[in-house]
Order: sequence, then C-alpha cells, then structure tokens
Amino acid sequence: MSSLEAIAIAIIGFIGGLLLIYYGFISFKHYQVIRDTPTEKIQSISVGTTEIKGTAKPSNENEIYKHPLTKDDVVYYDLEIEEHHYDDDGSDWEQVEHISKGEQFIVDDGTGQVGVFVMKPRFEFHDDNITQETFTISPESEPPDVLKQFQDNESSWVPNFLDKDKYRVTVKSIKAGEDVFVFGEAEIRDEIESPTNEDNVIITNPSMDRFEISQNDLNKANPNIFDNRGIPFIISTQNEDELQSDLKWSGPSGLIIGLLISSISLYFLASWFIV
Amino acid sequence: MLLEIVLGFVLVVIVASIIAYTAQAYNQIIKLEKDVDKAWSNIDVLLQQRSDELPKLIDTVEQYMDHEKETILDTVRERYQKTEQAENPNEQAEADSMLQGALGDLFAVAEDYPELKANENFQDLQDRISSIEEQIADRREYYNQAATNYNTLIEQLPYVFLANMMSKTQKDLYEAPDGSTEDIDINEQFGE
Repeated sequence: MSSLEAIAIAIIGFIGGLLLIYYGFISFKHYQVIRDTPTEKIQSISVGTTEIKGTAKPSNENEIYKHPLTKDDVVYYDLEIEEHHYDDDGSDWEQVEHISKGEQFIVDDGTGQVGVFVMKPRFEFHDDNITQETFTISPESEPPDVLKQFQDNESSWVPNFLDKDKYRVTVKSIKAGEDVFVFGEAEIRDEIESPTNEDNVIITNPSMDRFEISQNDLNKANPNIFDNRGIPFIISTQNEDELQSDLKWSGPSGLIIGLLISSISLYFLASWFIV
Repeated sequence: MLLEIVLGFVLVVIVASIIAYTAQAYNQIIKLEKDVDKAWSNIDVLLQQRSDELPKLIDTVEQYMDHEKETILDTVRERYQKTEQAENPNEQAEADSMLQGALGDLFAVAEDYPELKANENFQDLQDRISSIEEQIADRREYYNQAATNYNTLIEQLPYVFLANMMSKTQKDLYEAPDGSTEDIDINEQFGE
C-alpha cells in the first residue's frame, strides 16, 4: 500500500468516525422521541407527530406485490442484486441493481385505518423480513425469475449471464397482514375530502414534501441519516420494545466506536504530517 | 506530541458530546411539555366538534318531544356550556361527566318517541356524537400518557436538575370524577 493510499484511508477513517458519532447521536435522539411519544389509536389520530401500531394492508389492488424470492404477498419490498467479481485483489460482490416497490400502504389497528406514504423512511426490519439467496448461473440451467425479469424489461441494468456466474439477491419486505410500527407525521390530505382517517389523513416523512418527491426517488429510496435527522420517520417490523432497544444502544456504541476509529485515524494522520 | 493531539481531540469530542446531550435534554423537556399542551388542545378540538353537534341534536329533538321534557334539553344546554368554561383537566372531567349524564338521559327518553328514533337526522347525530365521545376518550388516554411521560422525565436523573432550573412542575392528569367509577347496581337501575 502506498503512503498516499494509507493517508486517504486515514482521512476516510477520521471522517467516518465522526459520522459514526453523529449517527449514534441521531439514533439515541430517535430512541428518546419514540420512548416519550404515546401510541395513538387510529380512529382518533391527530395532525402532527404520531406513533401507531397495526397490521399492514395494501391501500388498493395495485399496491400489492409478489415477494421476488418467496412469492408472498407484500405491501413493500426492497431488492438488491450483487454481482460476483474476480479481480487482482481477490473476489468481491458489487451492487448492480437496487430498487424498491411500494409507495403507500394502510395500517389497521382495529379502531380504524390510515395510509402511510413510504417516503424515505428509516426502515428497521426484523431478521424474518430479510431474505437472501445466492444463485450460481450455468449454461445448462435457466436463470431464476428474479434475475430474468431484468432481461425482459427495460431497466437500467441487464444481467450478463455469459460473463458473470454468481449473483446474490437480498430482499427486505413488509408482508401483507404483518404487524408494523410507524412513527412519523400525520397530515391532512387536502386533495381528498372524507370524514374517515383512512382517506383523510396520511402518515409521511416530516422532513419532506410528498408532492415534491419524484417517482424515481421513491422507487430508488435509499435513505441516509440526513433524511431523518429531525423528527424521524420510521417504519419497523420490529415491535416498539425491540426497536427502542436497538436505537438506545446505537447511541453510546456509535460514540465509542466512532471516537476510537477517528482517534486512531487522527494518530496516523498526525504521525505522517508532524513527525 | 502525537499523544497530546489525540488526547486533545478525544477531550473535545467528549465535551462536545456533553454539551450536545445537555442541549438535547433541554429540548426534550420543552418538547414533552408542548406535547402535553397539544394533547390537551386536541381534546378541546373534539369537545368543540361535540358542542357544534349538540345544538343540532337539541333542535331535532325539540320537534318531537313533549313540552314537559324541555327540562332535559335545558340541562343538556347548561352542561355543555360548563364544559366550554373548564380551565383544567379536573374541571373538564367534572363538567364532561355531567354532560354525558345529561346526554344519556336524553337518549334514554328518546326511546319513548319512535318517530324521533326513526328520524335519520337524529340517528346521524347520535352516531356522530357517539363517535366523537369515543375519540374524546382515546385522546384523554393519550393526554394522560403524555402527561405521565413528562412528569416521569422531569423527576429522573439527569433531567431533574435542568427541570428545577427551568422551574418546571408536574402536569395534572385527567381523572374520572367521584361516582363515575363506582359499580352500577343493575337492580336499582331497573327499579327492582
């Protein structure tokens, strides 16, 4: 490794460590907000910051999808495809496609139903909601449907089965009929006039305007910490206690690990420039 | 020299973290207090909706009820005015309990007037008021939870020090008035 590469790694480490500290701080803030906000019943939901729990359902017949791997009915999925590469440094996986489906779904808590607009939320998936499979492509066998669909459709990426032999597919999903926890902002849908919350109110990201986000951005939703640094917008298939526990420990661990990484990186940077 | 630079950096991060945590704690106390105020206001919104429906209900009922039943309507009018004048959760609980009692009497008396019961307008109003009552109950539960979260926070470490400096005090919880939580004697209700 050249000294320039080493300095670059140290700079990345230093900045990465600081970002990790910031991430830990944001996660801890989210933990506190969720802990201190009572859960509302949907029949009496009020405009503003809200926390609800219930069952996920499709908002209409067009908003229900098939899980790319298991073929279960889902209201949202996030699909990531990685291609296996061999190069001089060894072998690794490179992400070649990343899409999501599911713009909106309904949450029903038994007292009523309300729409949730999936606009760059912080997703917290239970392990059961994450499916990963690795496919080895050979000339004798038919490629799996989940990869073949990209050959058949007009998409930005087309798989090259002649050149690449291994693909890894990861799907994160919210199944229809599954329990979900949603934290966000309830707003009135001025475009609809209805006495029921199902039509009249929607839960969305408080940091964004749902009329300004493009369809492209929704389908390629890849939220980062800066999308949710204020009041968070969280969609979770974990229950509230599990979610709080994860977020609570993200804070101090982000601080400690971030501090360690940035301190070590700073030590190396200082040793090159000062000594 | 190197060690001093790294230690200095660690110290800066730790001090910055403490300052950020303190600022966050201050903001949290303010936010929770505002949440309690908002929860209280949200109950007011529904009470206002109910108040808007009550005159229509009274007008509809007046067309069908005998003159001697006017006292029940006068009681309903008087008690919903009291709910609008309540200034804290305890006064509101008291006033609301009395209004609910009057509404219960009104709907019970309406059973003796089949034409009134069959009136679509009356049925709609009755359903809407019942729906609003359910939502009021939900929001009272929410208010109590928000107030409890705030009261708990300002007594916990380290928030108690900041709360004392900010002169923050406990918020009243909404409690059902005396008598409303007693068991009902069914036999007495049916005059047995």
